[in-house]
Amino acid sequence: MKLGLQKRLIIITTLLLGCFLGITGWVLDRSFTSSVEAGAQEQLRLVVYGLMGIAEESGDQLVFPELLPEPRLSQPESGLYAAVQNADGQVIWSSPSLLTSEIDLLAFSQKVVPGTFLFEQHGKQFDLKYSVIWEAANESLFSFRVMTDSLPFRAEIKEFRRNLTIGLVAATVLFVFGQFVAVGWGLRPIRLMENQVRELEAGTRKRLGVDFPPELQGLAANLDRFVEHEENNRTRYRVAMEDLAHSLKTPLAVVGNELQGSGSANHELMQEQLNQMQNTVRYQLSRASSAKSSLITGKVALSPIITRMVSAISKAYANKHMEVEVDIDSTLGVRVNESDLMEILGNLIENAFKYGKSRIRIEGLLLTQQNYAGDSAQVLLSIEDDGPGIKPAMREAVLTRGTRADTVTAGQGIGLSVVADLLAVYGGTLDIHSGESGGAIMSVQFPV
Amino acid sequence: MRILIVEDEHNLSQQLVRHMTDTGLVVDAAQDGEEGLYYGREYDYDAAVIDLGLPKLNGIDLIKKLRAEGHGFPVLILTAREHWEDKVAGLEAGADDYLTKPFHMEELQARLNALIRRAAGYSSPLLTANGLSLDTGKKEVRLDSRLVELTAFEYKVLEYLMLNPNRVISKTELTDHMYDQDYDRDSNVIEVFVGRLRKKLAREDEAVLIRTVRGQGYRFTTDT
Repeated sequence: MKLGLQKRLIIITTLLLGCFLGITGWVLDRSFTSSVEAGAQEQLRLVVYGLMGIAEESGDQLVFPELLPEPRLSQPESGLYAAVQNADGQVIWSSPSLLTSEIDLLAFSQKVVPGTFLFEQHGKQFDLKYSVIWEAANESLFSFRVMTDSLPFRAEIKEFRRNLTIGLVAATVLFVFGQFVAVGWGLRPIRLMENQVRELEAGTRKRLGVDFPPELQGLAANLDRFVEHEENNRTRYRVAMEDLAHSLKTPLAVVGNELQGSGSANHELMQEQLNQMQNTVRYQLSRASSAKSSLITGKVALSPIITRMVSAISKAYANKHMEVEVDIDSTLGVRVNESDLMEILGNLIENAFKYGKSRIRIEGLLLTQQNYAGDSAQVLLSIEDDGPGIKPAMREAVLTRGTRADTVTAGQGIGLSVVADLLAVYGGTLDIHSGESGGAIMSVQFPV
Repeated sequence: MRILIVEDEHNLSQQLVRHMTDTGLVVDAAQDGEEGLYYGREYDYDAAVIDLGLPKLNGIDLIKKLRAEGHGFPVLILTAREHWEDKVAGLEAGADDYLTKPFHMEELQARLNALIRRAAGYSSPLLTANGLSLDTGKKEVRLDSRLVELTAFEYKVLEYLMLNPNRVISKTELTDHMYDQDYDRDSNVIEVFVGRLRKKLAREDEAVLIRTVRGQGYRFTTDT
């Protein structure tokens, strides 16, 4: 199944947000670390300049007074250390703070080009080295090294990272929440349209609303036009069929009745031909109507429509005093156009009234089946009467056009074939069985 | 029996009128819904045959209006519309039966007779009361199993009285249901028919089946 619009939007924006915040965090972290290290380097550089300022020449050596420019150089374990090495790498002076520390100066005695600074980090120290050719001391080469504990700087970076993380996480949470709200709000018109289309399908709504944003207005208007066009077509078609029915059937009735009283020599032949014409007109018109089923079919509740039809048909068959038992769950419904459903039910219920003796039983069930394609549900409707029933050999014949199973009541024998044709349009089926009493059971299956 | 036919197709309407008149019914034919409504309001019918697709006022609205105004006579819908939606709408509007075109005149007649009988409370074509039986199918009358010879008009009077048992029927009402509109109402023909009927239906126990209610009319009694 394809991902929903909302999920798509949320997934893509969350991925983009993740990348954006990751890169932002990395850049901010790098910038801050660099700026902290640059600050440390600057501090050490000032100490180097201070030491160079107080250094005095003694032959080709340098000597330093006791009072140093940076008091921390004089305090043991102060975290700021300094030393001066000669060209051979020998330490000719070191700050009192270095005396008690375990820093091994020679471990990192890399040569530096005179006049340039080298900033490095060794273990827990930042180390700045500067080499200089001292003119007044017989142009001897001296390396000034100043080191400071990196811990305070690291702590500063750590603190920054913590704040950055908290900030970014908070921003992420806020953004994701905001995104849900924004996507929900942005997609609301689509959801609204989806609901309205569903209502349209269910038949509880005639048209889509007008309250859509400009991007969807065109689509909504087109859908409305389509539905209206479909309805108009159906109505026009139906009216045309009715007019045609009226204009054909009434003259047929007149001719038929006239023929009956005429006593003509060819009476039987003409009556037979006329009956054939009548059957063809009835059958073709019913078929034409059933072939034009609506695209938009809502779910129609079975129970109320069956109750309605039973009550109407009982009126026409009042003298038969039929006992009708209807057992259908009120929630049972089928996706069949209401007027087609009335056509199906009307023919079946009327047959039961026509051929039944005293009892009719109408039962509706929801059948769920499991097969390789998953669960499928069907509505099974059975209409049973206690009449003579339909012999197995006749069953197929009554489902095909123009066959009449019995001559108990005059009829053109096309009712059941119209039912079968209509059901076929909706993917349903009609089966004929025998009940315990020998009467007919008409079983209709509607797909759900 | 007085029947109203509301059918806009002239040939069919004429055919119905001819057939029904031949079987001894008094028939009024209306060409459209409004005329049908006028007749329905004006006369007391025993039954009506109404087409659904009528000009001016359609059949369903006509039936609804007649029912809303309290006219309870049985109505048979005669329609070219096959759809159950229309049939159910007609029955729900107040019709009692329907027949789709094309149809056989005999079937229409049988259904109409059944409706009239049903409205009078009889479920079989045989109307019986106090040893008197009237077969609406064969149009035969028997008194205690003995066949009674009646003229067509005598039969009509007796049938109408038996279909309205224990109710006072005025001479005017009887006349309306026996004759066309232009019949001379001042004539004493009804009295003559009732007098003859009484003689023909005279029983040994002298039970009176058709009683005269002074100044009001006649009553067929089932409780002698």
